[in-house]
Amino acid sequence: MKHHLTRALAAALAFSIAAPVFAQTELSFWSWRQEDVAAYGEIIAAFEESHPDITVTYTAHEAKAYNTILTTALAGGSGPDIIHTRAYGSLENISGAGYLEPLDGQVDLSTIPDTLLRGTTLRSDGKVYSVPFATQTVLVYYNKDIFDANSITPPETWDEFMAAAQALKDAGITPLANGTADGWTIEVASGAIMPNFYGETFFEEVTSGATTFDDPRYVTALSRMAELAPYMPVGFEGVDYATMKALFTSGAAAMFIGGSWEIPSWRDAGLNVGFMPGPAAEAGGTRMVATWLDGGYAVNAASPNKEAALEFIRFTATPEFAQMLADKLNNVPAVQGATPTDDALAEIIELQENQTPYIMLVAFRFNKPTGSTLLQDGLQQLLTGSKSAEEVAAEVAAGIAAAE
Amino acid sequence: MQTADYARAKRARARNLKLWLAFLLAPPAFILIVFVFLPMASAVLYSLYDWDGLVRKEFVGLDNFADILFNPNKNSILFNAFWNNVKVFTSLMVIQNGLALVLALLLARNPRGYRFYQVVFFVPVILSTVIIGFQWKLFLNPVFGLVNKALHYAGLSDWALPWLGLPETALPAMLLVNSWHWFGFPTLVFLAAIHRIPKDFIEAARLDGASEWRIAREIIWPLMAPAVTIIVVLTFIGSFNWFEIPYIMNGLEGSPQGSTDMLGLLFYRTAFGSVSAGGSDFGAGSALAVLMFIFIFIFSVIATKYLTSREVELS
Repeated sequence: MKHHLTRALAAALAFSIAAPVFAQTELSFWSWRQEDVAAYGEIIAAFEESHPDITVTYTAHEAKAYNTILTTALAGGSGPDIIHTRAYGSLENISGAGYLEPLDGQVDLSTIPDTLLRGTTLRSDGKVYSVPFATQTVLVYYNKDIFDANSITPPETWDEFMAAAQALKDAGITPLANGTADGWTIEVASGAIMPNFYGETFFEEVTSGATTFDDPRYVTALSRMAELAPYMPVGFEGVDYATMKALFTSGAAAMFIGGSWEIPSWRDAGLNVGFMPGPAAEAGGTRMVATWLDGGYAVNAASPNKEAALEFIRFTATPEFAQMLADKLNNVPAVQGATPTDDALAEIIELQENQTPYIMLVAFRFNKPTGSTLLQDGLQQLLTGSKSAEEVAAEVAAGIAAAE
Repeated sequence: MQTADYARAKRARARNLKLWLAFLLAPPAFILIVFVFLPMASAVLYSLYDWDGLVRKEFVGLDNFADILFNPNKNSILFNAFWNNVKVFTSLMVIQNGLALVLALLLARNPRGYRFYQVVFFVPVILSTVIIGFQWKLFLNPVFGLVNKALHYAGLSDWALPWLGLPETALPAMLLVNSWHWFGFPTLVFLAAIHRIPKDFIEAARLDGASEWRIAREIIWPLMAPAVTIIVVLTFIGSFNWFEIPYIMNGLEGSPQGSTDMLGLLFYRTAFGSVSAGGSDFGAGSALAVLMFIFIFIFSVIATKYLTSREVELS
């Protein structure tokens, strides 16, 4: 009898000691980024160290199937506790359906610039549903060796840019690797050139409805794009993304306008590359870079572990997390306050002082036809010379007005 | 007694045969039902609902059909794609099948190297469409493509165009690629049909002094009608379902400016979404798929009926 009692006591004692360990909350975290599994392992380990009662399991799905897998799971009332989401229109598919927990008042979002929060805000209720994680920036890359060999200094204004392009062309070098066969690449290029001509306030005005795309400032910006055509490769209408990259990495072309995601591939190719923002309209003018948000981190509204999941989401909004994102994943973090060890990342963050939203993706990819479809078709026709800047601007404006 | 045994054995054999046939037919029937008929039925069902991305909302009847057909903002894209499919069908009939007919008529006369040509013409058919699309995309590349290099060496630099990048040349270039890929197939079918025509007919006509043209037009052509029926119907179905070559060579958007847009690409963009063209809409996508199916089905039946009626029976 006594024996039984001690045994029961021992069991009770053991249970009371073990209880906190058993109360561990296990969070599941889904993403499409299979290439980042190892880095997220380290980031999660850092989180678990400061939150010993929570464990997080990172699962990366196949990128193209991710949206389908996620929405199917969410529609079935399941899905992970923490969700790596895309931004803008793609996020609206799930935030608008009520699958995500609104974060306002629950997470300190003051570390993130408003232009980026826009990417994870649902337009219908104005609430933020995901903590922005990383940005892409449109840059003008140049081959330093070619510039040096032709004693060209990186141009700062549009006139200098045109003069540099002409000098390169005279030297028998293709000034710009960009083509128009893949419509999205010319839209990206417009993100470097056009903002400095349509100006800082245009985005606000066109999204609020104060102006439309047939605005004279937008027409001017488009006509600058048309001036690039003579400096693009011969047959640029048929030059696709792969050819653009081949031209630039082989040294056949001196400049390449593209996104910040290109940097690792230039490094792999052993290229001596510098980058700059698009040229200013005139001397002393601002040189803006177009940026957009790649995605964010959200909490499943149906999660049974909402509080623990929110705790992880709060962690993703800290400069400490941003620092790891920069160092371990080589991403430009959306959360401010990180000082990346990588020089290029640090430089991009500096350029982002003058950032402007990448206009069609950020504000006009919610309805059909999308602003991107309209602008890509328009730019292709503008550069081949089959339409004027005025005509393209009018068509974009009309298309946006009719989109639903 | 013996006859009763015989009858029983015969019945048993008939039953065995039926069982055996059922056994053989069941697996393909099962696969057809699960992977063809059920998805078709579900597409019809999906097309009657409103969709929010991949989440099914309320029943909307034929609204999706009305929207893609009569909404002035959307139907211009649909009609552009449809018109391109019409161009594809007529061009392939002329270029691909016309070339095949000429080659079949030539091969039917047993020229030197007959077997060699027959194999060579058929080789592109057995290559994968993905490989062909990709390979021709490289050949047509304006910077390092074979086609423009060859034009330069031939002194025709002015003719070197960015073939896939101009709205005027992109579709014709793809049609030539498709014809190059497939012409061997109709050639072989036509050739087999010509070989089926009894030699005496042709020899008799030749003895009577008929010209080669007249023999081809009045003896070979009517007697190979069944083969023509098959090829026309297959080309029709293939043209209106055309997807692989335009997708591989110029992407989902039918670039440049919708000049290579096809119903198949439009369906894919609508149902599954694309980076530039926006999110997915299963309702409208399914409705488009149903319309494509109905159109192709009805026209194939009519075409088969009409073309079969002009076939001549060889007795």
